[in-house]
Amino acid sequence: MSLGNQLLFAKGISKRFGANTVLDNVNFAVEAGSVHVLMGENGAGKSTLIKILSGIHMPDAGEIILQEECVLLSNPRIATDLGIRVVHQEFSLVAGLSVAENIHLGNQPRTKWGWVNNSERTESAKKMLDLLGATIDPDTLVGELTVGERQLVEIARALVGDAKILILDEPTAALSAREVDHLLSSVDRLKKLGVGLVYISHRMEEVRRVGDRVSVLRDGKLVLESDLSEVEDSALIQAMIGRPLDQQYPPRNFDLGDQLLEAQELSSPGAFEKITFSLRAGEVLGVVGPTGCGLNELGRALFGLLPTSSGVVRLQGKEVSLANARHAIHAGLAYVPDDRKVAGLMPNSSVKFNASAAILRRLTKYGQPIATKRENLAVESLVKQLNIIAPSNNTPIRLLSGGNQQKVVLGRWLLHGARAFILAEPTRGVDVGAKEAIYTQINGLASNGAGVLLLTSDLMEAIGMCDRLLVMQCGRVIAELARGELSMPTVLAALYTQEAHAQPH
Amino acid sequence: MRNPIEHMPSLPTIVSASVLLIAVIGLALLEPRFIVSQNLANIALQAAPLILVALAQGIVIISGGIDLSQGAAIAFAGIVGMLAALASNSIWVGWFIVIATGVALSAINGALVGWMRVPAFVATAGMLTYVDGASFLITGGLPIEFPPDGYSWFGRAFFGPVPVAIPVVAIISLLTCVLMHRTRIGRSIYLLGDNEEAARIVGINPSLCRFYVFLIAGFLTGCASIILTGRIDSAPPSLSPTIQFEAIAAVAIGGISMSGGHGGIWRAIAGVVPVAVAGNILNLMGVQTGAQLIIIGGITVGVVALQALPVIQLKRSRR
Amino acid sequence: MKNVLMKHSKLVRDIGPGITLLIILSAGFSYFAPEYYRQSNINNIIRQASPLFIASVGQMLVVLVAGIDISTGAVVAFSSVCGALAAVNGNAAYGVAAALLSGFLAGGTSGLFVTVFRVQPVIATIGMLSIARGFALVLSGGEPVDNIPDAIKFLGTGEIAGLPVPFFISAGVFALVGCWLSYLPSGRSLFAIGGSDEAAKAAGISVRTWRTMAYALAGALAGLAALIYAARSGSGQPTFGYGLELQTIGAVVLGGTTLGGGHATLIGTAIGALIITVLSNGMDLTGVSPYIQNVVLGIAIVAIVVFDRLRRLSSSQHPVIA
Repeated sequence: MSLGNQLLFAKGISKRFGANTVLDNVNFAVEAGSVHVLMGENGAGKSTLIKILSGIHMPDAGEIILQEECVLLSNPRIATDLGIRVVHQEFSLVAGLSVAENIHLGNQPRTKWGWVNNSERTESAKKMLDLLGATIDPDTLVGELTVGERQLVEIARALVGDAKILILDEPTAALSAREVDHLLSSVDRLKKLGVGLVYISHRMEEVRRVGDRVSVLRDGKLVLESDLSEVEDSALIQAMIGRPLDQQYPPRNFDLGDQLLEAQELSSPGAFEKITFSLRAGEVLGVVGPTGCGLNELGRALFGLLPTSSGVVRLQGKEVSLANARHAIHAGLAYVPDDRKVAGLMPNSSVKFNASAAILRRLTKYGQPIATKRENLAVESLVKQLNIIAPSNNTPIRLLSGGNQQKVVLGRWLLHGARAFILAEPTRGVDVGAKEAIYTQINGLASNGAGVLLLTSDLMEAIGMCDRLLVMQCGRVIAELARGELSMPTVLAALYTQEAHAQPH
Repeated sequence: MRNPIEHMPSLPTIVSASVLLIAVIGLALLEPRFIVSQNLANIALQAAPLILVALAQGIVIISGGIDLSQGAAIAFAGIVGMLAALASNSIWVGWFIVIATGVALSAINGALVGWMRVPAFVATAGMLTYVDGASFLITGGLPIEFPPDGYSWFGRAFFGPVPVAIPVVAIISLLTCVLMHRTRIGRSIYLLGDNEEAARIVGINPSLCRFYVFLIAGFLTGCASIILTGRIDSAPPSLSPTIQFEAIAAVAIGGISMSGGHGGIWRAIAGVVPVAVAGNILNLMGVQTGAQLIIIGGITVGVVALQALPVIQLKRSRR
Repeated sequence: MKNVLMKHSKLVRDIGPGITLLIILSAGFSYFAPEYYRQSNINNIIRQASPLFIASVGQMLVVLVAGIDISTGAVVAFSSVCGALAAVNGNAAYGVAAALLSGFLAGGTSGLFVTVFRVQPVIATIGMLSIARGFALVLSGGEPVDNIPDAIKFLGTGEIAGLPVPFFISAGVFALVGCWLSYLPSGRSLFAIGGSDEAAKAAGISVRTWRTMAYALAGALAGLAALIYAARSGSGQPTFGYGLELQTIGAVVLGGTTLGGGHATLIGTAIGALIITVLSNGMDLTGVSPYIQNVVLGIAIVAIVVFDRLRRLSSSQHPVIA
């Protein structure tokens, strides 16, 4: 490894949370004017490493050397002052304030009386935006920007005041192809200015385009580090998941039945347009696309949670009312939302309450009390079947791990006996062990004759789990891939080379 | 997963239980009039309607809202009911109208909160003002009196040494507990208060459910109104202006989560005990209204603040 | 160029309905009660609207940081009693200081409960409602505190250059708060805190400090309003302020501030306070009984919030998804 113009070297970093070793003796270096890509699955330790580099956590072992000096990053402010800036996945912008004000949030340029200097602020904002090549008016309200523009504003914010190292955490997760392009050219410009960049992503095309070095974490350990030019995609994927891609996902038999769920010309203004697909019994149909392009909205609309303006949905030939969730449930649909904390769990309620939530109607005759024995039996059997680990069925569900929580959120529909399952990001925020259990469960659903609509932004998951794949972009289905065509290159090609018409905004 | 917090009784419950114990023992020594059976019956009589109001408030809070209009609704329903009883010379008509008015007023709140998405505190604070005004308007500032014979039975009659109100309230309380813990509507209320979006996904209709919440609460406050007007044999325009604050205090002290979705409804009843006892003791000691207000307000906020302590500790240990 | 228009269009959207309502009400009342447009009545309106405006500005600050203050009226009563007691036993200057300080402390306590102990704003301020009202009763012995010095009475009843003194006090509040919110970093941070807690924290803004400060200032402003009320009635009374919190919420919402936080308009709050005052002034002039006035005001304010909700729901019907 050449030292060159090394800005930062994190040496021997280890971190434990309770009994969990999250990082184990990791080395990581950042050089000026270069992009160091950090790859790894969810739970591999990437975000913990970033948090350590940005001062949110302190490592249990190891040291951080910044420009030849050993530094102690005991809080985020210190890291920021030293020039280490992070652009996170969740935007930290205030929609009601202007771009210029957001860029200088907490750090407004002042006149000598201490008042905020509006003109200097606008000028400074413009300078940052120009550095990135972004043509955004600093006086617009952030709430009126597109997702891609907001991302650029976030980056501009991170650059204010002498940024030496910029850490980008999945910056393109929510962007359209054109916006990704924009972003990557901004990254190029930053490289030329001598900024050292850390780029977290698992999108090979982007990684190849801007990356110089790559490090792969798996289970907290650094398993691969190399120049990008000297390593192949398959080696990277294998390093990330520990085995070849085709062994990552549990096997299935593909016994397809009749047409189960179909949608025709389904449209929801502002979200998606003219979606048509058909799902057969026993089939796992995937839908992929950059987040924010109608994927999750489609899921919600199918379940009656989002108003639609036109189109029909049929389950087993019968039309399904899209007025509310109750109709969808009654028809035999099930829905696991993409963000279980926001929409899936009742956090303070017990495991039992959460698990039985979808079958309440079946547990009671009208007006009569809930059949407690039946409820308890049903929940017990579910817990056993899915191997849900909890102190008791009466434990508040927020105390369970993410994986176990997700099992309950999925499991409640198993009790319901739905025919068609709509699963949005089913393994988001779930550790590797529980992921496998969920994949097995999904396969089980298909084997039992249900149909699964899998909405996901995880391309590897889509390729590994699905029989067919729909590709969405900006609210439309732009491609459909059959089983034989499911591989990373073809999917990426479909995703990035086909442009749908831009949405007006 | 080792987590002692979920297995221990919650901190506020410990605190209020200890306070109650100390208060009862200490003040029984200081104020001998406290333990006299007449006084204890008095406390029970005071507590009975408060239990109903606290149950109502508890249900609203569990669903994620709050009700600031209970006092005004109780007074107004009492007035309208007594007028109806006088006009028709029938106590049954009167009682029915009291409850119907309570339900109707609450239904207005339910509609505003459930369908118009008006925040609960605005809708109910508004009702506090206009219903209060309406009460004064109808009565001209003077209480309605001399209801037909038997109208005040629930408030004044005794079965031997025990006031009638007590078994009546006990039955209603039991039914309410069964409603909340063993029926689908009760379970839906808990799920809704815990996470509205998730409740929607499992097929609960938030607007309708919130409407039902207020209907139930209205029924309970109507019953409380019958007892309260019965006790004083009249319906003044301002019957019990602080009762909703006492109810909120009871709900908080009992350990029901103020953010909704959590806490057995029986806790509202449990919380009434310290409030009623404390109120009684303070009255016996001659403490004035103002000081009582301070104490109630302080305890309410204090108890809710205590609910936060375990969370604050957890967060600190994350580093 | 486009954004200059857009910026102004946002303002117009906020206060447009308010101004329209004001014009309609004024026209209506002056038709039914010709005294409406007399100078003395206009002065009356200004005199009555001023303390409501000042208290509403406090409410606006709390709403801006995504909170709510149900204790405004009780804090006014408490501050008026403290101020009156201090003025009677000391002098006018002590009185003013005591009123402002007691309000500040009351509001600040609510704020601490919200920020440090994470008590819901509704509950924290309901508690303060009880506590403040209780202290007002205890400190005053249940009776009005009379004989406050003339210097304080001047604040409420006096005139400068033909305009009531309360007007100048309101103007001062308007200017100071306006400047603070527009030009000082701490004031700007309130918008960030109300808009997104996480964003503000991530930006290094001290969310706790300034959120608490918003509540504390609301209390101080209630104290200022209390001085004017006390000045007008010649005494500090523990019975002041019943129903005031609802009126301040009405004024704030009518002015275009969102109850969810992150957005506030000072001009709008002024217009809102004016509308509510015009409403009750008009009802006074046309001989409506005070009981009916209560009913009308209560219903009107709930209606205001309903319309505001409906307006926002309908305008967000088509979210932009890039």
